[in-house]
Amino acid sequence: MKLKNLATGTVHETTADRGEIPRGARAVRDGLTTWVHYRGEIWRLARLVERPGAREEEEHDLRAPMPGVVARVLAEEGQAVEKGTPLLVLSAMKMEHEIRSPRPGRLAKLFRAVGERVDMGDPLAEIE
Amino acid sequence: MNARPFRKVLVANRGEIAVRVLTACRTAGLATVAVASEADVSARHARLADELVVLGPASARESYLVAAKILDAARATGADAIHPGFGFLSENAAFARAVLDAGLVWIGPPPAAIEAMGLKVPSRERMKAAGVPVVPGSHDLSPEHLAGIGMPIVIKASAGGGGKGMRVVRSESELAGAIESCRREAEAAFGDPTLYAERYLERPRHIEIQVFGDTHGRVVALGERECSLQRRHQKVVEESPSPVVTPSLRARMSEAAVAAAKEVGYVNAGTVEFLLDTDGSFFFLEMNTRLQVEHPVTEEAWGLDLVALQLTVAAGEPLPSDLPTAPAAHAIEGRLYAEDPENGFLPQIGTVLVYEEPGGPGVRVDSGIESGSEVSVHYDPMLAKVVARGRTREEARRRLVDALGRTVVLGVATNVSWLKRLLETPEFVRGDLDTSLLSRLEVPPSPEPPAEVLAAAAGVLAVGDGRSVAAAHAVFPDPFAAGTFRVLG
Repeated sequence: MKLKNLATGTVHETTADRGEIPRGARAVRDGLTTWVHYRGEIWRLARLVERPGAREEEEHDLRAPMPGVVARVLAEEGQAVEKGTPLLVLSAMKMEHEIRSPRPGRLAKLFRAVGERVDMGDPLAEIE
Repeated sequence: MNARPFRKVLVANRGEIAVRVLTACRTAGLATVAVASEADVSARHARLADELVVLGPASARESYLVAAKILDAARATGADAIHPGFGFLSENAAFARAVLDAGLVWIGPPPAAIEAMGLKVPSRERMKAAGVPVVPGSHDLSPEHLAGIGMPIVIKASAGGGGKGMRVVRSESELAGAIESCRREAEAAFGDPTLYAERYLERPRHIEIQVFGDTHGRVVALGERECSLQRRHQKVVEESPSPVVTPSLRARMSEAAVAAAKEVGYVNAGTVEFLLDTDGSFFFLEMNTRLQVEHPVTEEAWGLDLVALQLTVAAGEPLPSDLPTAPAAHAIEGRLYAEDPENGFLPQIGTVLVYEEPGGPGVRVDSGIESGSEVSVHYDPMLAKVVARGRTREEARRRLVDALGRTVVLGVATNVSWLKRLLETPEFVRGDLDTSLLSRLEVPPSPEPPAEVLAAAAGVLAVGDGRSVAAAHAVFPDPFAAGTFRVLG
């Protein structure tokens, strides 16, 4: 089984999947995500499931890293963007967070307007 | 001030501070009333009180921030005193006044003192006049006035606090954008777009003095807290005493803090914040007219119960004559936030599937959560505070590192492991702190999981329906099992 460390993005492979929990470890699961406490550290690991076409979709979409409300839109559709160009500002828990372009390209589509609520993982923009 | 004995206290707050205050009230033999939004009716604080009043929908604007609903709740339950906790209505002078006008005891400072310290510009001017040292600044944001302050400059919301609506500007070209975004955040967070600017000290320490006044004219200082470890102006780790404050510096800062409090006729618990420069000079930053989030480090280092003292003073009694004059121990606090340190510290939400607090000598946890708690977008992401006390700073630090390792929060990402690694950095071990340290410190990254962790993850994934978000399986190791054991269900 392939497991992705959600903190670092590193993918690990394990063959131990017989439902045995090593002594001293504590684990819970929420869908495909697991949480493990072991020797004073906590890890979040997600099971990777092969999905055809998933990679392509991920390359084009910029998804909301957290739930919130769109406070401002800083870029226009059709605009050329660099890696790090501010696209919009999400507001959550009384703080503002700037969402930047993950790579250079063209801002093909913005899916949200000012004042709209977004949930974690919602598509925000498409970068070509 | 309506300072007189009371018998039933309404705590107008939620989360760990509501739990903390309700516990102190119970200890003092007082009846208790909790208030809760509809999202919090089964929360820890709501279950702790003798009575519960539901205020309204989850949004704080429709529940915890509605003064009229809090006053109605007090009337309906016959509560004769209100403790505001921190945040929400705690520094709202109009609310304090309404509480007093309703004939209730307000467990906090006089409304006039809240007002005097609430606006940064007038309070600074007043402190300057009272002989308390202040940082050069201006409430006129025109370029010529800002030039008089000199770069770098920090722009703040005049009505702000807790780092919300603050921008540091290092060159003139950034100025216009910073002022605009700061003004918008100030308007959104406080309903007041007024800003002010001041010189930004490059590597100061944040040192604050705990003050306490009674209704008999006495004001005392109860030592300092060092809160230099801040991320985006939010405090992360606090300690008392500060590793660099000597008895003579403590005496000078205490004198300035008491002068500041007396200037505004301060009563009850308050905190005077200073920036301490590397040369030992210090400047008044602001006064927080409430109990502070990090009050436990003072309590642990000085052997006091500050909330019990708040109740004493609010009842019109004098402060005890035998208060300590120096710290008896060292205490360090780590704030547990629902955030993802590996992904830009983004706030996290979700259900806490497993929660376990550490115990042991010198370890204290102030928490508002438990297994099953929902962490939502509606409230502050601070879940708990883990505090350790030691005979020395190093003993306190080691105890806190160990306690954080035994703090189990599964289901929502928190900064608990990151805090532990932060406390192990050479800079923290040496006590070599300043307010910008966290922005340049390289906290070691989260380690990759050992084989045991991968096996545990695979083990828990092997049972149940993999696509069901609701199907969370808590698996507890059996202390009597040798080696591994099998998952049930």
